[in-house]
Amino acid sequence: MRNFFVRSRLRASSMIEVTTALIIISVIFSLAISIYLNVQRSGFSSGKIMYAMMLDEVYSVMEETGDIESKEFVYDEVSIYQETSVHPSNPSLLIVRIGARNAEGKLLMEKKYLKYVAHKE
Amino acid sequence: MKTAPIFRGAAILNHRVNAGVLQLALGISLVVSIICSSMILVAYFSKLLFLNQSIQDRLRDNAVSGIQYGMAMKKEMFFSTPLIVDLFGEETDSVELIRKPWGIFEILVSDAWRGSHHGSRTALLTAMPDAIGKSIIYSPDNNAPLYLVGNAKLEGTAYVSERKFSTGYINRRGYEGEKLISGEVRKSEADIPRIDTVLLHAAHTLMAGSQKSYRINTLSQFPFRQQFSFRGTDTNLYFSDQSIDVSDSIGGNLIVQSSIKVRVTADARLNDVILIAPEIDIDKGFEGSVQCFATHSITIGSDCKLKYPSALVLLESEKDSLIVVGQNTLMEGVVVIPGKDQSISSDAKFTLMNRAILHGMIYVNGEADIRGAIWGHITAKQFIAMSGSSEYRSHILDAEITDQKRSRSMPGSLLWANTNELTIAKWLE
Repeated sequence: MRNFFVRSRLRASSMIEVTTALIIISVIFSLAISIYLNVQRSGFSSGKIMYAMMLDEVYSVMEETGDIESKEFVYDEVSIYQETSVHPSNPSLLIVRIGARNAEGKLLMEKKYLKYVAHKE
Repeated sequence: MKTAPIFRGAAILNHRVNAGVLQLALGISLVVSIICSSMILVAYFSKLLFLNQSIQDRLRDNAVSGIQYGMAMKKEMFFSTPLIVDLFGEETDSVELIRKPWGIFEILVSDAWRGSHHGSRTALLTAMPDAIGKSIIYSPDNNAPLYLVGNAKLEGTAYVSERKFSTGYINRRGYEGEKLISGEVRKSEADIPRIDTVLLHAAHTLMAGSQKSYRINTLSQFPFRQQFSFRGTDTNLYFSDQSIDVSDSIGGNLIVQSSIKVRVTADARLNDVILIAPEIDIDKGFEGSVQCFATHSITIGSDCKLKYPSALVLLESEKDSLIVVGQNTLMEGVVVIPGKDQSISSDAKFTLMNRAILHGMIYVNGEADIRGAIWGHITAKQFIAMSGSSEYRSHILDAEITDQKRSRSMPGSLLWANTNELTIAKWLE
């Protein structure tokens, strides 16, 4: 091995050296891929952005129409629910939970808002 | 091929390949590792960006929820006193709320935070109009009808005296319309509706040099081209003993006060600022949103555009004090001459000139000379019409007062003719 570093030119490598190098490369590559997939799965995804936009849109519609009733409906193959409950501190204040579930019922995303609703005189 | 084999036992391992193969493998591995590391970096930074964005979105939602909380709990909140609130009772979403007076409106500042991240929203609050606020006219019952002359046009519900409307005659002109009013007529009370004085009192004390409701941060120099944030409890005030000419771009959390006069030129760009002075003049062609508080006069020139939420308020009105809105001017907001109380009217006068449009609400505990158009509501103690030097009481000449052109999004005022339902007049930040 000392000659390897000393000699200025290599004429040949043993098969074991090549195999070792390839094994190390493939291990590093597989590790990199698994880290990449893990990062991809836990972070940015078009799905999460889509669900967030979907929930924002449902909230905007609720704001415009004033429809604060609890309900559930299917939107783009995703089940969206809107749950409202009275805030313990004030009856004029509602806690609105808007969330998205997939077909298996798994929670994809949920957002919470407070909504002021004045009592009509 | 003369180098000694490392493992002599295995024939396959004795097989030698050209040195170029290892170099090729190393080269490929270098390329692969560069690609892999760049992919990991891209994924990492996109994740970081996404997480930051998610936190910002959540803080923004929490800040908006904080505003909603403040609207519901307004009566329990004191002016300029921060309140920290756990929004959902889960100890994960906290906001700091600050309620501040801002002229005839109120401001709610909501600041949500998580770690070093902050999300803030500021809303200008007002109230929704009640039945009177949705009507076009409230004229206290003085046992006389309201006389309509010329092209006077009324569309909407009107609260007037029992004798309702009649046709009048001024300067050889009678009533030129077909129908006196298109809408319901209801009987009004003898007194003008009561006005809520909390916000007016806050402005009045500021005018008198006292600072009870506002927490003032005094500016030593007049600010140029600055937009002041509404965050925090403080209100920025620039005060001068001299007349002030405003001809620059300024906006936000700023009160400009003079003990003599404030003049706003057409070049000035004002956004949401408050002007206080005995006399306030706004030059012809000005555009912007501004609240004016004066004791003697407010004069808006012709061809101006005062955007919502603007306000003209005449406090401590003396004889000859007036508010004039010039020709071809469009004003969106509120005009108030509160007078002394319900029974004692003011000596002040409000004049809306020809072809001027006031889109909003007017309260005049004095005389109202309406020659232009009102798209909204007017409460006036006394309507007058001027012809030459003659003054005709309880007359409306050539004015258009309608609710048909009133925007659905135009709210009412916190001062009078409102319900207990608050609404956001404008998102300031």
